[in-house]
Amino acid sequence: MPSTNIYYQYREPSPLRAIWVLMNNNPFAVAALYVFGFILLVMLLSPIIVPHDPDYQYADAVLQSPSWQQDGQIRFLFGTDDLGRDLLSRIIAGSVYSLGYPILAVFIAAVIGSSIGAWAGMSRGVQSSTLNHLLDVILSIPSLLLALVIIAIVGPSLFNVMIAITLVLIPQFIHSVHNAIYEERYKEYVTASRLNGCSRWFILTRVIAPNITTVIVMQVTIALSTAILDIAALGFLGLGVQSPAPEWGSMLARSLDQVYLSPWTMILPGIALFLTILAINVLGDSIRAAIQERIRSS
Amino acid sequence: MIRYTLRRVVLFLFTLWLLTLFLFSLNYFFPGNPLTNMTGIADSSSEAYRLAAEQRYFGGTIIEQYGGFLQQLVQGNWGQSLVTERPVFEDGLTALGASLELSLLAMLVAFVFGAPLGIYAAIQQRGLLDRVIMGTGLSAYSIPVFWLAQLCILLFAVKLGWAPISSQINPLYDVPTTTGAILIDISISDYEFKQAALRDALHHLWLPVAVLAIMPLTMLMRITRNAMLDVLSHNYIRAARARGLSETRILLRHSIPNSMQPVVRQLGLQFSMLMSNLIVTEVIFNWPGVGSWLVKAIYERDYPVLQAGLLMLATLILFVNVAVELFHAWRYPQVRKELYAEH
Amino acid sequence: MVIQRFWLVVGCCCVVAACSQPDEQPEPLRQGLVYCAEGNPESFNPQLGTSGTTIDATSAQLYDRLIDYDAERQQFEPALALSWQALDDGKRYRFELRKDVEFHQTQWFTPTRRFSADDVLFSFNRWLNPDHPYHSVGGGSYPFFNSSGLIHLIERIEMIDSHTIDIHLAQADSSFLANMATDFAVILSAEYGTNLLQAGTPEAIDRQPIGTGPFRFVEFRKDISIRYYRHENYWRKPPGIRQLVYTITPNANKRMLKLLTGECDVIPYPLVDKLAELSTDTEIEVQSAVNPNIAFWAFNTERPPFDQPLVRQALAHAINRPAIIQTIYDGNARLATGVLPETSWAFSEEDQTYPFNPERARALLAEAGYADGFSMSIWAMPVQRAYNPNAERMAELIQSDLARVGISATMVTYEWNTFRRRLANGEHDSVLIGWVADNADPDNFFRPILSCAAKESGNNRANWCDPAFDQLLIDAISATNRDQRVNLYQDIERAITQAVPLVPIANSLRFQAQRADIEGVELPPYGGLSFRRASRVQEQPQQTPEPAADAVKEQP
Repeated sequence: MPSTNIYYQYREPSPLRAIWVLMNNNPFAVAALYVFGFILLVMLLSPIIVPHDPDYQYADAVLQSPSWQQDGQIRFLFGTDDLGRDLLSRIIAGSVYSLGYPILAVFIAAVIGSSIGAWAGMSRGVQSSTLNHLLDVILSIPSLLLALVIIAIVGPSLFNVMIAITLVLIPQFIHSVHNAIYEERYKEYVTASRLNGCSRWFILTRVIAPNITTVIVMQVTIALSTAILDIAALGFLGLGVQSPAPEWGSMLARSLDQVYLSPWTMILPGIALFLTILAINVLGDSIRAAIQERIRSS
Repeated sequence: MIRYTLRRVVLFLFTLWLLTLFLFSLNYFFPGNPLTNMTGIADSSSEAYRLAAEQRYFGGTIIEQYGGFLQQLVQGNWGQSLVTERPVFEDGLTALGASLELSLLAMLVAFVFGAPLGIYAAIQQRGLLDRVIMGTGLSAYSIPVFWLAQLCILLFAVKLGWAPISSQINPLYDVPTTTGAILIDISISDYEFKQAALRDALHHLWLPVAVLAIMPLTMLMRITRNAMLDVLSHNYIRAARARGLSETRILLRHSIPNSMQPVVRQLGLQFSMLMSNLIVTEVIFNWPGVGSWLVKAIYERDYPVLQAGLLMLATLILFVNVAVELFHAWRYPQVRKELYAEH
Repeated sequence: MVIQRFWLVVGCCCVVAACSQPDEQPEPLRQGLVYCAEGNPESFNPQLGTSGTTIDATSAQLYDRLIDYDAERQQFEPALALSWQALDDGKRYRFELRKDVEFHQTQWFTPTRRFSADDVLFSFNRWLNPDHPYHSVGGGSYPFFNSSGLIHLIERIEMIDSHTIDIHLAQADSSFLANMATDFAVILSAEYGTNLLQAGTPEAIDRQPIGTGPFRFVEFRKDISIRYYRHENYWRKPPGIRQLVYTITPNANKRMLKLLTGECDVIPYPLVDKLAELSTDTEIEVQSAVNPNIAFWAFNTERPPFDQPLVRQALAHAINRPAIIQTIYDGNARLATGVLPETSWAFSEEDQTYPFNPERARALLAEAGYADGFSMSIWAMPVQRAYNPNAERMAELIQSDLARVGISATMVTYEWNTFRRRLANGEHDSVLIGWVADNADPDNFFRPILSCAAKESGNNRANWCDPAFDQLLIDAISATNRDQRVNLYQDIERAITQAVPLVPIANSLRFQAQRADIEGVELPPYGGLSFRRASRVQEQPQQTPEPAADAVKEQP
C-alpha cells in the first residue's frame, strides 16, 4: 500500500528513542550492545548450556590445558582448574554471580534510589540542598570501601554482599535522579503543565519522567559496571561470594596459586570480566555521547 | 571566596563529625564488647581495661561515652590492635605514609602523562593517535585492577625480571620506618647504603605506581581531550586566531589553561577512584599501606584497626576532595558564581 | 619542583629497570639472607607456642637449649650444658653449665653478666611454677610442657652452684632428655626478666626477646618482616651471615615466584612438582626431610551431630582420600593408614582407615537419623604446613564429596593465630589440620592431640576425652618391652578407628627450596629449622668482614 501520507508530518521521537537512533550510528555502541546481549543470553541460559557440572571435580583431568593448546582436550574447551573442574562451565555458571547478581542489585538500587531522588527533587528548599551536599560527600567515598565496611559488620556471604552493593549504589541513583529532576523542573514545559493545573504526581510521572529516562539509563550502566567490579573485587579479596561458587573474582583469586604454570585459569575468567565491563562501559559512554549530541542538536 | 571556603570547611567538619558518629556506633554493631572493640583490650579484668572504661565514661550515658570516644580519638589514643596489641595510631601513621606515597605518585604520573596526551589527542582530533588513545582509554578503564596487577606481575616481574614481585624494598636494607613512605624514610635516615637502598626502593615502586596510575591516567586523558575540544570550539579561540596569534601561543596562553578547569575539578573524583584501587593493589603487592592494613583487619576481625583504617581512608579522601574543590574555586573564580547561583 | 622530582623518579625507574641489577651487590645483600616464612609467629618465645611457624622463626635462631639432639648420629650433644649425668636411678639429672655464654646485647637490654644457673632456673620455673612472676605473662599456657607431661614430671630444680643445677624428677622417664632437647625448652635471660619487672613491662619478654642464640632480635613488623642480626659474641662460631630476615609471604605460589626471582633465598613448603617444572636451571635446590607428621580431619565431638560415632564413621566413608593425595599433594604423600606414619617404629601395615564409600556413608547417616543430611563447617587452616600444602583446596574437595552424601559444608578460615585461638575455644564443627611430632616416641602422636589433658590445654582438635583411651596411653608409655608397646599402640590405633574422633589423611615429607648459593640451612626431622650454619657462597672471596663497622650500622 503506497503511503497516503501527503502532509509533511514529523513526529519527534521520545528522548529514549532519539538516543537509540543516535547510538545506532555508532558501530562501537552496536558491537557493545551485541556483546552485552550475548553475555546476558549466556547468563540466562547458563543452567542449560554448561557442558559440565561446574562443581564436578574430574580427578583425572586436574589443570588440563585449554583445547587450543598442544596437550588440551576437546572435552574441556577452556581447560580445567586445580580441582579438575571444567573452566568453561565455571565461567558460564559464574556469569550468574558476576553479572546476574549485580543486575539484580542495580535494579533494586535503581528503584529505591530513583524514588528517593524523585521525592527529593520534587521537594523544595533546605532539605533538598542539604541532601545534595551530603550526597556529594558520601559519593566521594569509594563504593568498595563502603562495601568493605558493611561486610566487616555482617560477615562475608552472597546475601550480605548483595545487601552491601545495593546499599552502596542507592546514593548514586538518588544523586543523579535528584539532579536531573532539578534541572528539568524549572523548564518551561514543566511550568506550562503546572499552570495547566496538573498534580505533582502527574508532572513527575508523565511530564518529567520521560525526559530523564536517559539519565537513569546512563546511571544504570555506570552502576552496573561499579557493581560488577565491586563484587569481583570483594570476591578477589575473599570477602565476597564464598567457594565453591564460581564467581569470577574469586576464581581469579584462586588462580593465583597456579598462575605461572596454568595461566589460562587466570586469563580466561579475567577476559570474561573485562569484556563484560568493557561492553557496559562502551554502552554507557555512547549513551552519554548521544545525550550530549541530542542536547547540542536541539 | 572566604564565604565559599568557610562553607566547604564547615561541610567537611560536619562530615567528619558524622564519620566519627558512624565509627562510634560501629563499636556497638560489631560482635562482642563495645569497649574491647574500641580499645582492643580484651581482658576485662585488667587494670588497663578499667582505666579505659573510666577514660571513655563507660557506665555513663551513651552521649558521655561518645564524648569520651571523641576525646580519645582527637588525642590520638586509638586503642591497640586486638591481634598484635600494638598501638593502632602509630601503626596507622606509617601505613598512611606508605599509602600516600603510592597514591600521590600514581596521581602525579596520571596527571603528568594524562593531561598532555589528552591535549595532543584533541589537537589531532580524529587522527590516528586520537582514536588509539580514546580506544585504549576506555579499555584500560574497564580492566579490573586486580587482574591488571597480576598480569603486570607475571609479565614484568616473573617473565622479564624488570621489577620485584612485591613489598616496598628488599628487606635486607635495614631502613628504619619513621614515616612509612619508603623514599622519604631512606632520605632522612643516616643509613650507610642510602644510594643502593634508594635504587632498590625505586625498583620496587615503579610497578605498583604504574598499575595504579593507569586508570586515572586514561580518565584524565579523556577528560582533557573533551575539555580541550570544548575550549577550541569557543569564539575566543577563533578570535585569537583571527588576530594572528601563533598556534603555539594560542595553545599555551588560551586553550590549555582554560581546558584545565574541568580537569582540575575531576582530580578529586579520580583520587577517590584511585583509593578504591589502592586497597586491592596494596594487597597484591604486599604494600604495607592503609588498604592492606584494613583488609587484614577485616579478615582478623580486628575492630580497632578496622575503624582506624576506615577513618584514615575516608578522611584522606574527603580532605583531598575538599582541597581540590577549594583550589578549583580559587583558581577559577567563574565557578564560584555557578555555585552561588540561585536554585 | 614537583615535576623535577617526578622526572627524577621516572628516570631512576627506567635506569633501574633497564640494567635490572648492578653487578656488584651492596654489602647488606651479600651478607644477608631472606627466608620467606608462611606466617607470623605467635610470639617470640617458643615456650608459649606449638605452631611450627613460631618454632621455625624463634627457637634455633634466638635461643639455645641445655642440650641438643643430633639427628644424624642419633645422640644428644652438649649445648648450654657442658655435660649431664643421671643420678638416683634416673630420678635426678645434674647439668654442668657453660661459663662463656653471652646474652644478646640490644637497644633495650645490655647484659651485665654471662649465662648462669639463675637463667636456667628462671626459664624453667616460668612454666613449671605457677607462682613465678612470669608464669601468667603471655597467657600462662605452656601447651608443650602440659601435653608432654613435663610439668608433672619435674618436681623441682635445684641450684648447686652458679653453674651446676640438679633437676629432680617424680619418676624415672626415658623421654626426659629428649624433651630437654626440643625446641621448646629454651633458656631466657633472668636478668632481663628482672629488669622488665622493675620497668613494669613484663610482656616485653616475649616480644623483644633476649636469648643466647646465634641471632639477636632487631624488629618485627607483623605481616611484613622479622629482622635478626648476627650475635657477634655467640659462644659457638657465629653464623656466616650478618643479617637474617623473615618476610611473611603466606601465598605458596608467590613464595615460589619470589624464590625464582631471587627475592627469597629460602622458602618452606614449596610446591615441589611445579618448582621442578619451573627451575630447569641449577639456580634452585630442593631439600626434603623426613618429617614425622600426620594430616587429619578432626570432628568436634562435643557438638551434635558429631557426638555420634555413626555420623563420624559416615563422614570418614564419605571422603575420597586417594583423590586428595593426587590433587592436593600432587602424589607427594603417602595415604595414611592410621595416625602413626611409616617412619615410626610402632607403625604397622594394617590399614586402619575407612575406604571411600558414599553409599555406606549414606546408610550410616540414615541409621544415625540424618537421612536428609545436615550442614556443617569445615575449618581449613590458612597456612601451609609440611603435612598439608593447601588445606583450603582440601576443604573444597571434601565439600564436594560431602555434597554427594547430602551434607552441605561451608569452609571457614581465619588468620593463622586467630584460627588457632578459635579452635582452642572449640568454635568449629570439623577442622583440617595436622600434627608434627616433637620427638621419636609414638606417644607423641597420641597424647598431645587426643588425650583428655590435650583437651584441657586446647590442643585436642576433636575435643575428645575418653578415660579408657587415656588409660591405654598410660599403659603404652609405661610398658618397657618394645614389642609389647608396638602391640599397645596398635590397640590405640584400633580404638581411634572405632571412635573416629579424626580421620587420618596423609603423611608427607617436609620440603624446602633454596637458591643454590645458600648453604648450611638445617632442617632437622624433629623441630624447626636452623640458620646457625647458613652462609652465602661467594663467587670470589672479596668481602672483608669488618666487625667494627657493625656497631655503626645498627639502626634503632
